[in-house]
Amino acid sequence: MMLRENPSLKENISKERIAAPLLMAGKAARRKYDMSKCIITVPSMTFAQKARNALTANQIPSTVTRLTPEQAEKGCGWGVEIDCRHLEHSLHVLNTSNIPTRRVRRREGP
Amino acid sequence: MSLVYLDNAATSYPKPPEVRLAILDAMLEKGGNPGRSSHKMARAAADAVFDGRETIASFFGGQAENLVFTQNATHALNFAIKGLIPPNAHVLLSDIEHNAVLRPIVSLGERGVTYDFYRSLGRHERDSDSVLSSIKQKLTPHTAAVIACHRSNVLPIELPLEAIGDFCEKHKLLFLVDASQSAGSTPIDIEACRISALCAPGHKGLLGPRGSGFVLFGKSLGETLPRPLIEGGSGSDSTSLFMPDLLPERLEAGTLPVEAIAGLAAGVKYIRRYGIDTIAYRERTLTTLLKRHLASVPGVRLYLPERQIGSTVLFNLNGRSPWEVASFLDQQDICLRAGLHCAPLAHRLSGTTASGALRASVGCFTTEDDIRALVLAIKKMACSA
Repeated sequence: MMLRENPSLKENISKERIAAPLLMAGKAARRKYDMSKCIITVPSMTFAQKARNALTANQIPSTVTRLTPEQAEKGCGWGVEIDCRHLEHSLHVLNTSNIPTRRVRRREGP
Repeated sequence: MSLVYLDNAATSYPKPPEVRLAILDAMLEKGGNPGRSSHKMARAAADAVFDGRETIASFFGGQAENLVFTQNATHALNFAIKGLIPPNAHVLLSDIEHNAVLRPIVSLGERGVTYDFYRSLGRHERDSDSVLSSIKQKLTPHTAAVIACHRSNVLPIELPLEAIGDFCEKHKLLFLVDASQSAGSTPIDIEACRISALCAPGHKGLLGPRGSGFVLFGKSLGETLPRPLIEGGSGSDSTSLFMPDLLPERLEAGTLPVEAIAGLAAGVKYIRRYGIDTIAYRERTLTTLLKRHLASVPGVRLYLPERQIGSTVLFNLNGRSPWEVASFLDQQDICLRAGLHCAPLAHRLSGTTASGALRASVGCFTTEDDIRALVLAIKKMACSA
């Protein structure tokens, strides 16, 4: 009860209310950012590591990613996650490095 | 008196400090299961495995994805032989092959595989013409593969890989190589030698721990995929009932020994830093020294002493069984191996099948003091005979 009467807390609550739409906008922005991530799926962990190294050598940041069963075609699988802006360049690098690729998936959700 | 270790052809000892540290680091910091989970520890383990693949494959001029980790050279040879040689094929193998090759080949007899031996011992050390002429003589229309023990584990004999590889490419034959005694002691380029499968242990010349080995497949294999001998989890394509159709996962069912792989990679890096030519020179010099000193001991019989290949010295002491000598040396803290060394074919060449022999094998860390200690002990025993 004491806390409710605290004017500073009231202020906070009201600020929170005001800030809520902004926070929502931030989440949407983050989601939008996440949506710009692409996963290039490859046949194995070894090829995912080889792909990461080839991309790094070409100044394309990437991370090795374990696919979910829904993302993978046969249960589990591996891929490299990149910024979708680098997709075309990345596929070219992997192709010239003789790294087999399966599919390109957009990252779903945060 | 400190221990004198002259059994490096069985397994090298000691290992470089870097190898021990890499094993400890893998155990402490990379404790996850590589290629299975995706948490930090598993990713660190997977990166250690991939680093090992790249380090070892590039050391032999191969590709990381074509390197399959095994427990030792015997497993590697079984993967290559049983995974690649088709039923009813004819195979040519050298007359110095280890049981790690001989026994799998004999067992393939159940699948109609037949075999014949070609001669490894030419008129001189690097006599590729006589080896090739022997292979040509034994070639049949059904011959599918040639197997070569690059360097004998008993005698100073080394097979000419480049010449045999060229021949195999010309005749569209698989070329399988057992590099158990040469890997780490002499440069090998899998592509220059047109090798289809290069098999080696990690724990000998490559200075890794026991429990490490590999088979590296070459480009000459083309589209051929080895048949897996062991099936199980591979970390990918889990709903499929079959092993993946890509290397290395196709042959790597089950959890990989990250500690052994990290140690092996550290061993190869050590050799790179130290220089394989420097190691080869050092081993050759000490082997020559050992032969010269042993030859001066009355009652010592050396086998093929005039040849300067490899780092093993095969000998006997008149009137003493090799086991008796090895036991005496063990009491003096000198380690070497007596017997047939799992290589009955090579012992047939040296005429020591019935008696067996003593094998002293020099390694990366052998010293002149080690050589002197062995020679002194043998002299002592010869005098007491």
